[in-house]
Amino acid sequence: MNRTDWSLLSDAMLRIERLASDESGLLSFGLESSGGIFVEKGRICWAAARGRAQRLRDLLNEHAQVDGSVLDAAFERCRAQGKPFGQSLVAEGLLQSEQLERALRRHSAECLVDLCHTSLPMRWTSNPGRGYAPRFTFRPVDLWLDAVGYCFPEHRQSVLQELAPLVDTGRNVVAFVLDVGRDCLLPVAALGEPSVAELRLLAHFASTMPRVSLELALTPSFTFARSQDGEGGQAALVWWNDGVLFAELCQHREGLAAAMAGHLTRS
Amino acid sequence: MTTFETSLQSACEAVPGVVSGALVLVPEGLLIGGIGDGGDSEREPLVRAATRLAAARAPLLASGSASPFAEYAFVADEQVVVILRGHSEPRVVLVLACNRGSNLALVLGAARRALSALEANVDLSLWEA
Repeated sequence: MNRTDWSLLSDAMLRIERLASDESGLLSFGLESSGGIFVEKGRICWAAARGRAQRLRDLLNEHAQVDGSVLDAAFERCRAQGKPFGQSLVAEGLLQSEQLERALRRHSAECLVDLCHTSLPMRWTSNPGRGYAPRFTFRPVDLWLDAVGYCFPEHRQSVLQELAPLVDTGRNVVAFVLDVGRDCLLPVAALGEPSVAELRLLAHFASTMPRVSLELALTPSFTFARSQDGEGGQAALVWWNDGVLFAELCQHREGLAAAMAGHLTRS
Repeated sequence: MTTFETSLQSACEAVPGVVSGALVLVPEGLLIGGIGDGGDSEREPLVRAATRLAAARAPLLASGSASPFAEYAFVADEQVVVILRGHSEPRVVLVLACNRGSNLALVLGAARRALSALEANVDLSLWEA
């Protein structure tokens, strides 16, 4: 059973999202600093958790596909010279830039999950002026999705299957998995670019639909909600597919019609 | 049947496939009228559904505002349940459970007209806060 405190994790992401775009610093976890999230100009450079350094080397090894001894030698050189390990691997041609980005992002997601296994207090320490000068930075929402995906890999195929046809259509769809132990919906993938704040609200709303379905003793193919007509109106569609709940927001009548057509055909 | 329930019955006559329905006052969750099969206890799930949805907070638009949802549809193989909030009396919610045989757009359209007729012909201000 997954034991991550998802509220703490999303609170941390929301806190970072709300920083000013020029803020840099460290969001540390625990009174004795079990780790933290390094932020550069409002974006996440990386997350680090105590005892996870070797895991980063393992991920780099997986992505680099070079001999472990070559990697070890490079690591010792970097340590001796005080150079950043990942960036040195790229500079020496042992790793592609995209591979480093993927490894760092994955490592950060795993560290986030580690940091949120217990409810630790968080503290923000600003680091004005100096910065960390990272090669890559990530949006809080992306690391949140990565962390959930790391904990629920079994749904990856269902999510990809459902969302793949919708990429580049301009539709805003979010996939949620259910953490049964904590009875909460967790976003695992998103089309469009929702923020952490928007995803939290959408999760809260989307979780209402299955609960109402239970009360009505229905197993709906889909449910939809619509606001009043006129400017500012919106609609939401919610449906299950293979254990994953999908929620789509439509802000135009045409978008709603297109989204509904698919579901009516299926049902 | 009371005059009010007669009005409710009459308003919902044109909604295709209605099996049961409830008119609910939210947020209290008070059943103020019912039609179709069963009595008040059978309509309890409809009342709970209306009350829960009335309390649900709508997701944010890109503009940062939240436009409250005024109607819902739960579409299953055998049944569709539509839940509509009053325009002039948003504390009043009409819930209709209908057979799935009818076209969803027809059910929704007819349900909207039924609620409009109720709002026009029935003094719902009795339940004003």
